Amino acid sequence: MLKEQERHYQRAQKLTGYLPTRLSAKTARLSPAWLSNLNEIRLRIHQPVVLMSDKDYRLLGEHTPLTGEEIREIFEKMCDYSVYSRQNELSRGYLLLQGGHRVGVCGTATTDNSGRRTLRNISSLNIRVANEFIHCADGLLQACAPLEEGLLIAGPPCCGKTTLLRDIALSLSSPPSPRKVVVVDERGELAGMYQGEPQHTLGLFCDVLNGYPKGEGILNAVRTLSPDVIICDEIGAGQEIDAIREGLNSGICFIASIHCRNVDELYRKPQFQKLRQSGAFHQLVLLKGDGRCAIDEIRQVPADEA
Amino acid sequence: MRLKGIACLLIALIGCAMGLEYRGRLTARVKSLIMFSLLFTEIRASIAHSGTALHEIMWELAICQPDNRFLAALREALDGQSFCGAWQAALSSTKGILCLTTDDVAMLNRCATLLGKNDVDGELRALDIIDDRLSQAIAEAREKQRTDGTVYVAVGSACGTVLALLLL
Repeated sequence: MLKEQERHYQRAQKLTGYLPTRLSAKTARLSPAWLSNLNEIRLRIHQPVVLMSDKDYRLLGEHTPLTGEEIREIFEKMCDYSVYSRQNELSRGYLLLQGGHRVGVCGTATTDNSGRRTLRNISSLNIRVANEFIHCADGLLQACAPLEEGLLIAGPPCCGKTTLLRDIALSLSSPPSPRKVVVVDERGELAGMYQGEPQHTLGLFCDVLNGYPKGEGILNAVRTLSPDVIICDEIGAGQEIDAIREGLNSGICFIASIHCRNVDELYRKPQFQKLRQSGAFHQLVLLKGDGRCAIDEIRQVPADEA
Repeated sequence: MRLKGIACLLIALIGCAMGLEYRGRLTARVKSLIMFSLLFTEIRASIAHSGTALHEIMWELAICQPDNRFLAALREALDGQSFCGAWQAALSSTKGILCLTTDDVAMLNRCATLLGKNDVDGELRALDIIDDRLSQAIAEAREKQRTDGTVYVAVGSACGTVLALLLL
């Protein structure tokens, strides 16, 4: 088994540790090669556990599905038995685990007197496995070199946009010719900060603004961290565009990602039109939808293209 | 005769000492319950101000109070266990030292099950319930210490004296 595959296998094994013993014991029957490609673990009340890889899926406990009590126990374990300490994450519908994995949480939303949203009666959990593919962005960086102007990465969900951004952050901020990189990580997906420590490998010259709304984070970075490059995930809201414009005036290069199924859909998106008009992004990278960070096409984004 | 007198005096003193020992246990129980009350106050402050996770709060408290045997046992038990499981394990291993009754242990275990399952507001409400339960337990323990404590010392001394007189 390759070193990277071995690492992914260990991460997957650690994650299955959250399952009840009766189910986690069953993962021993799965081959290490299959487990090392694990992408998601889906836990739903009264349903078997679904382990999803790039190509197929496996069920655990087909005849003995998860009970409500088990889901609650898993959820509490993921919260380190202190649900209140994850209130901010939960109000946005997710949890971050050690290792940088993100868990989507479904339940009944309730809003308290101060307008803060919380979740109760947890009914399903979706663990998205955060795998590192170091050097996966090498080809992209070579093709787009010199990366002096903005780069926008577009693709469907689960195609590897975040993984690519993470590796770009690592490559650009590492010797031999490091640049000052700031990662604005609103939902903790890029650096996977867990109790103040990044769970993914970051470069020597990389700073992380964790939990900031992207617009606010960009402005903060521009004013206080003198970055050469700002990296953020899933961009496009109004405040973010204004912040990007301010960053452009300071000569900062932006690298960001945006959701889209295909290029036609992308061009129809108002967010993309706003990003294009901002002039921050000169190259557009379209990814294939196979979850392996595979590049479909690299094209220029002319200011007048629509 | 002098030796016999000393032996009788010793017996009487032992009886008195046993009474004092029982009273001491009642006092220790009160102190332990007050310690738990203060512990929950500290938990409340940490949850309200910083939202720190329970196991982190306990780790910090254990470091700040190295003489607290319950916190030391809890810190050890927290390694790889849920907060509730660790709390129960720590209580069962230290209940003798803390002089707690079975009812106290059951009540404190029930208190621990209330924690860690809610948002901050829910936790603070749970801590209010815990506070009420502990206040009642402390009041009851104090009353027992006042009444039974005196009885234990009196009975111990009386038994010792009677035994000494019988020996004489």
